[in-house]
Amino acid sequence: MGQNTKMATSPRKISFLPALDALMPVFATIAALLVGAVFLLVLGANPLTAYSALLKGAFGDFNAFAETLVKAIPLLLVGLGTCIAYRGSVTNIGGEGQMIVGALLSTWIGLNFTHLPGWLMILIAMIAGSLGGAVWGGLPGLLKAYFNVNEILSTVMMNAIAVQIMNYMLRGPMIDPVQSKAASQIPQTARLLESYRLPRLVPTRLHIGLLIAFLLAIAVYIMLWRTTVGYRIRAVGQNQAASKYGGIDVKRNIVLALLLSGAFAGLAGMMQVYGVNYRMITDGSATGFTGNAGFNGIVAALFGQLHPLLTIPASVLFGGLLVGANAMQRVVQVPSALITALNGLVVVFVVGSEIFRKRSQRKRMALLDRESEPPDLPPTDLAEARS
Amino acid sequence: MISDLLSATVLIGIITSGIRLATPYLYASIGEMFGQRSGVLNLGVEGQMLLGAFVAYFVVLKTGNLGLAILAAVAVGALMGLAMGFVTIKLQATQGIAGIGFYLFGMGMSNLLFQKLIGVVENINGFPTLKIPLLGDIPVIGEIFFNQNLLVYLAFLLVPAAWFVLNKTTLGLKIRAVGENPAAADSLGVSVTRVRYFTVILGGVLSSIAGAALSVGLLNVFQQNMTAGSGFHRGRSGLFWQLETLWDFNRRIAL
Repeated sequence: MGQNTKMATSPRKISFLPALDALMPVFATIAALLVGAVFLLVLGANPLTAYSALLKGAFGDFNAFAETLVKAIPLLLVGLGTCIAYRGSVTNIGGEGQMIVGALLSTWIGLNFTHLPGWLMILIAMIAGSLGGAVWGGLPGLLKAYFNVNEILSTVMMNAIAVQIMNYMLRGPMIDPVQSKAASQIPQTARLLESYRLPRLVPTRLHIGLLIAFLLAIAVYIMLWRTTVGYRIRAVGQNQAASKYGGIDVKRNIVLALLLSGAFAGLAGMMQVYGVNYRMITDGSATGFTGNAGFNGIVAALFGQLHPLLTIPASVLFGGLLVGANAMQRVVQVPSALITALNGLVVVFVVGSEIFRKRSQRKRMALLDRESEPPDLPPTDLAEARS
Repeated sequence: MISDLLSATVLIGIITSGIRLATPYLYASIGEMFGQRSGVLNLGVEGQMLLGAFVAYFVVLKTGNLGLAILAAVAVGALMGLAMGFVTIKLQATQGIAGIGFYLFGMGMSNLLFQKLIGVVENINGFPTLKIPLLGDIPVIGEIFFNQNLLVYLAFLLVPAAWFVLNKTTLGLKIRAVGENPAAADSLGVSVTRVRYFTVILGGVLSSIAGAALSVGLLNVFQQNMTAGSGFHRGRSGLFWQLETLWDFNRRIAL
């Protein structure tokens, strides 16, 4: 009864609805698209035609949607890693490098061991890919935990190292024998055996990696919120001092968060090779191999509010933007680079709108506190709360 | 062969171009240093550089006016810095992630504008070599240090200037105080917000000039970030990435 009257007297409460907070990234994206519309107008293209071409190119028919999902796979995997890292309050922006190292390791194994049954090799390659990424993410983790090195800088720098290793490997020891004889010298490896390729789901380029990524998203959710491992990572992320006091090894969990985060990116790299290109190929830059997935995955995870399950639709959306950008380029002659710029704007707007969510959350908490001030809690609840 | 490589002319040539190649790093890392000393980590430097590089190149291509090109780069850099400041200071967004956003924006935007407005790679007449009288005539040293273009001289003059501002002026003291202990600085009446806006905008301007130094001072050309296959491009994108080491290195020296 008392609660009802309070509801009536504070109509402001409606604006603090959690559902509205959850929609904040959507508003941020709409804002970014509006800014994009201004760019389009300035460039002399009709924003409506452009955006409808983008939509049709991404979700218009079966093939387009399959292509969108193919692009979404690495975004989702990198995004899952991002979720883990950020829940442990470490920032991993080394997704690009972790993808590269994971791909290098798994490709090397796939090219050098050619007598294994296909399913076994795919399994081994998945493990190798994750392992490569885990090492590349774990090193900055160790540096952070034991030498207090800023992990933002070290993960970015590890990207630069990975690119140089990739360029060396793909031009030297791992170069396609055909290319090493040819004059073109394209930095790429030989093709993987047909039996080693990830099976396709439907007669498109869509491969089984999608199902694996979906399952992993559920697994990450369970791990973070239903197991001790995840509890520890989140506890360290929220309050290191309290975690230490509670007997959690803070350093170990920092390393673990970055290590797991890297493993997912490494797996994403492996899937680009085993599921899409069937060889590792680059143009000499990180983007040449990853297609910026190491960064866009972060965007997707942020958009999914760093929740593994919400990251699924978010990565499909961004995969769609990437695929649709090419269609837009064909129809209205606006370079697909616009989408890269818009992705950047989405990131900026999403992180920029965080403050509004936090603010309304704080207000909601304050309101809740005020409401529970009169001690009308039954004594049993109090006892439970204390224990 | 080896003795050819080690001959004086070759060595002087290498060192001379080393000095020239260092210019973009210097501008960007000095800008970034100011930001970091005041407690703002700007990972959008690369995006700011790319936009600055494009804008300067575009202005030179259309008007041939080098001064105007630098002014345009300064304006773009200031705008990008202001935006970065607004998002990280006013809206308190996570600096690292906002920086990545600005990086993607700068990269996409410069590519987009390049493809839309220019399309093909064209050489321009960038900053000419400016020999300093007397000093430029000193053998070896003159050739290395005093036969460069204006942007190179300015970059190297900027180093002692930045040191002086940071360590010998009230402004520098405020910047360092805000970086080391914002709460204490605030309690003594230093506006943390204003100091950080200043350093982030300064950082944006210097990053943008760094890009301009690359496109109209060094290479006299602009290319998209992601064009496949050209060796020149590879060196350049590596250049941008290595920047990050340098700014951290710089920070360490400054500390």
